Amino acid sequence: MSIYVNPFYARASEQHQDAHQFVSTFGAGALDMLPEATWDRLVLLRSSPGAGKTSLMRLFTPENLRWTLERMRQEPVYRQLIELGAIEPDRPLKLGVLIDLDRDYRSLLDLPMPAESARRLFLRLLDVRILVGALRSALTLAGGSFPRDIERVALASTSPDARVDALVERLGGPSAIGILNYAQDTERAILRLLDALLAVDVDAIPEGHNELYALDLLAGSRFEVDGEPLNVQPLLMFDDGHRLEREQRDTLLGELRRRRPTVARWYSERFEALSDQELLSDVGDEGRDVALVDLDSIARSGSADGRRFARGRYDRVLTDVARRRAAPLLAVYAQEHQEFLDLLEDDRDRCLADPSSVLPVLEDRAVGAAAGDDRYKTWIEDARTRAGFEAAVRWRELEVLVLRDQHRQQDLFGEELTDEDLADRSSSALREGAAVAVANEFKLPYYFGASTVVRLGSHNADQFLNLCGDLFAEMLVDISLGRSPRLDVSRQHRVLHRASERLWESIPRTVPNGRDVQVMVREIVAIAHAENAKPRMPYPPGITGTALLMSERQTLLDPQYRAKHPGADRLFAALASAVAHNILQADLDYSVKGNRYMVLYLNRLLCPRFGLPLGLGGFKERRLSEMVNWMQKLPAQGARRRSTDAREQLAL
Amino acid sequence: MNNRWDEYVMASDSSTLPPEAVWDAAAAAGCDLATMYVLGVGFDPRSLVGLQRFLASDHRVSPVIGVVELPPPSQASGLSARALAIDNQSAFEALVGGHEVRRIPHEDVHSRANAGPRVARALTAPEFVSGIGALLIDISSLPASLYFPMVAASLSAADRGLPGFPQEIQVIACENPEIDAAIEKLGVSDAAIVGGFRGSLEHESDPTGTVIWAPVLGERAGPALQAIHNLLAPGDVCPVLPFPARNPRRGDELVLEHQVVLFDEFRVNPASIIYADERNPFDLYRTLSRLQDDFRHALAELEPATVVLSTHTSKLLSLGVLLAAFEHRLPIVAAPAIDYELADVDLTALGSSNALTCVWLGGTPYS
Repeated sequence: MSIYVNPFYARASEQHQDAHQFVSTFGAGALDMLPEATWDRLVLLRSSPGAGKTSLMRLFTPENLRWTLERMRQEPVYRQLIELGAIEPDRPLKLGVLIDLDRDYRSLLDLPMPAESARRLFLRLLDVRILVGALRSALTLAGGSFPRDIERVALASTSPDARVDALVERLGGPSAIGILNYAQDTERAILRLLDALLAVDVDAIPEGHNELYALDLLAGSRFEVDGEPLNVQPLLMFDDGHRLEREQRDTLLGELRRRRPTVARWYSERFEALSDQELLSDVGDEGRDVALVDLDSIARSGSADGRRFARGRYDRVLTDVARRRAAPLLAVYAQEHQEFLDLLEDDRDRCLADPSSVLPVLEDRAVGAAAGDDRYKTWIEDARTRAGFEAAVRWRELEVLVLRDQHRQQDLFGEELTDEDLADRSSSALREGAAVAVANEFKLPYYFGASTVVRLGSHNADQFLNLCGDLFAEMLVDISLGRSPRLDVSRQHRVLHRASERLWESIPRTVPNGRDVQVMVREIVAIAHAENAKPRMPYPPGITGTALLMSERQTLLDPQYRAKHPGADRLFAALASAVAHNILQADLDYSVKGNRYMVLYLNRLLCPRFGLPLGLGGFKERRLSEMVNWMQKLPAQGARRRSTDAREQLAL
Repeated sequence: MNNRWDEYVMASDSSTLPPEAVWDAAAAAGCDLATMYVLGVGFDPRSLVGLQRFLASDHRVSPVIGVVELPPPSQASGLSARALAIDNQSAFEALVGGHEVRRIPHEDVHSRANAGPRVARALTAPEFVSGIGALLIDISSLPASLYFPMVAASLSAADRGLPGFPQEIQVIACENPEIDAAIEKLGVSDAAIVGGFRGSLEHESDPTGTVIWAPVLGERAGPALQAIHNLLAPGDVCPVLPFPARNPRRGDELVLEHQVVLFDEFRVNPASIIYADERNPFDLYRTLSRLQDDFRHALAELEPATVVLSTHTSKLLSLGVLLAAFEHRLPIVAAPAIDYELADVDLTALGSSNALTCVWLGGTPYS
């Protein structure tokens, strides 16, 4: 076991209560992913797993707001929380209550009772957990401990509406101890029902609630601690809504959409590519009633107005998080004060150890393609002025550009092409495609440098931090040998390639329908390799995805279609699983050439394993029938029948 | 500290006491009533090994077979697993011809945790066990989410003297490390509490206090360990390694396999590692009983502590987890594989390593 802590790997063991660790490593810029109006309407956060939904919500829990106020006043997170209206210089303004929906709610549907009773029981269990969470938060905000100091808290009605008083009484109030007792009785009765192993232990099913009473109760009352009002707005944050059954989700969202400006309501769920999740018609009008925050989309393209969260800012947020995590340990272990990502060398020329074995080959090919035509003389002379990896890329690019030019209708007089022509026809995408091609052809390191690590993170905080962990582990080797923890391009490439290989290998073990997911990935890679190998490089920097017409996506959603077409069910399951587990990134309603597509890009971390570029943009659409056929291809492993008959092997 | 199974009866092919001897003894203690052999028939090549041996032995009263119907392997399972499940099912029907068979039908559930309690309630229902004097539960082909609640329910029913419920309770497992190695786990479910083993977990209104997690380690358990760690966010982790073991290096190999997860991610203190005899579930049971007792007493003055168990290893060792959890009301959490596939191996050859073990958990030896 290493004596050094890897701050990226160790985040799994950081305690949820550790406000210091959490707030000091939080990337404050992520707060701008939230809309400005967050306190008076339902905020629906949606993203792929690992994008940071839970972390975003956790920042608003009382212990973290308090820590920010007490210890982080010089940090950006303090200013951002002030701007957002979550705190004032002397106190928190919100009472954050994080409610984990990854609990036993789904189990309620297995109890022997009508659906309506199950719905009511769901609301009652949720009610008591909201209230217990609110009590815990109120005490934490006041510096108390739950449940030890429970008698210090009370819930006082502030509403003239007699219904609120009745609700307070019904739920055991106004004393907190009464509410807690009601909650304990409810939880114990329901959980006993769920856990009964003997039929004789199945008690009578408790009465449920008609609606989410806790919302009205919190809207019409206030917490008092030691007789003093807290004067904070309750902020209910429901996490992991995708863990609920669909009808439970709809019930909860139906309750949350009702306007109660005095109770802020946030709800998070995982993005699903193959459901009608995106339909908000039952929840309310986006903007007035609901603010939909698509974290994946904002991370990739910035906020809709382009100002609040500019495109590309998410990369800086990630870089900031990495710096915050690594800096203290780099200083202690290696007296290293350079930033973590700056320790990753990114001089491309260093990857070309022996230019003489690469450049002449590429030059010969480009010059050969030009076939002595003077039209390309200036371009070729320009390339000869370059050196190192830049020259390699330019020769490869030139080869493509010459072939493209020859394919086009040539100028009648075959005029010599100029530097301006070259600049016009070149592009960063083409240069990236050329660089990947050179790296693949000559087995050169390609995946290295801070910006590459960020791109390999695939706009996913968890994945990015795991990659940082792999690189930090490599740095620890140097640190333990007393060397400077700088990683050259080859070592970075090796570490990142290994991470890519690990992701690929882990798919069957970690992703439901993993073998089928691998089949899909292989097919997309096959498309990519076929297209990217074309001499004129038609889709620079290269294909890394496929697409399905939105109309065909709708067809795939239809259970009757899936029942009729062998393989369709497996495609449906594999596709849903791949997107839910971040193996594929889905963009819905992508418009191109008058059609609308669901575009499916490979997770960027899979690209090194298959020698693909990291730039997004290149995809080749496929028909649904073809994708269904992919599933008919048997998985490479586990496809073989066992060799003997069951009866035969029973003969001991 | 006295534990319920400090003294125990265990028979196995590798000991001088074969399983048939304790089956006979249980039948004799069963007051001239029939013995019921309960099993599940899935894809596992060891599904029917115990049943075949049981039916081949002499019975004064014709035995009854109880079968827990399992869902067929999904389309995402390997073809070999799907084919084996079908073959095992037809072999089972052939084996039990002429015997009374009582069935617990499979029912789809919304939550995996509810499947086990459902089956447990069906197993302990008076009509299911009527006329039965001894209950033998073969867990070789049953998932932990089912056999943990089944065994716990049977012990509870016997302890509470439910009318007509048999007092003699035995559990049978067919072990074969080579077959274990040939079974590839595909996908990992979300971590969840095993039905009936919630303990004090997920009672939001009754804080659990510090969670101490004791996972019994096995090969290829990394994804499950991470899923459970995410669910529990434990204050401390005490991994259990098999030692002594048939392969004396197995513990070291497990540490090597899981070193990043254990030491870099979970920050396990090497002093927290626990060892238990791979071939004796009662050794693990005693170890875990002592562990929970130590933590309970050590932290009593500070805050409540909950020891949570999970098992990622063989059926036999998992029994130790079950017994400790049952006696001390400890929560068990699992993140099982979703599908399975079998490597291309010669099962006939591997079958020669099958070894039956039978533990007698309730009834005559303890009265």
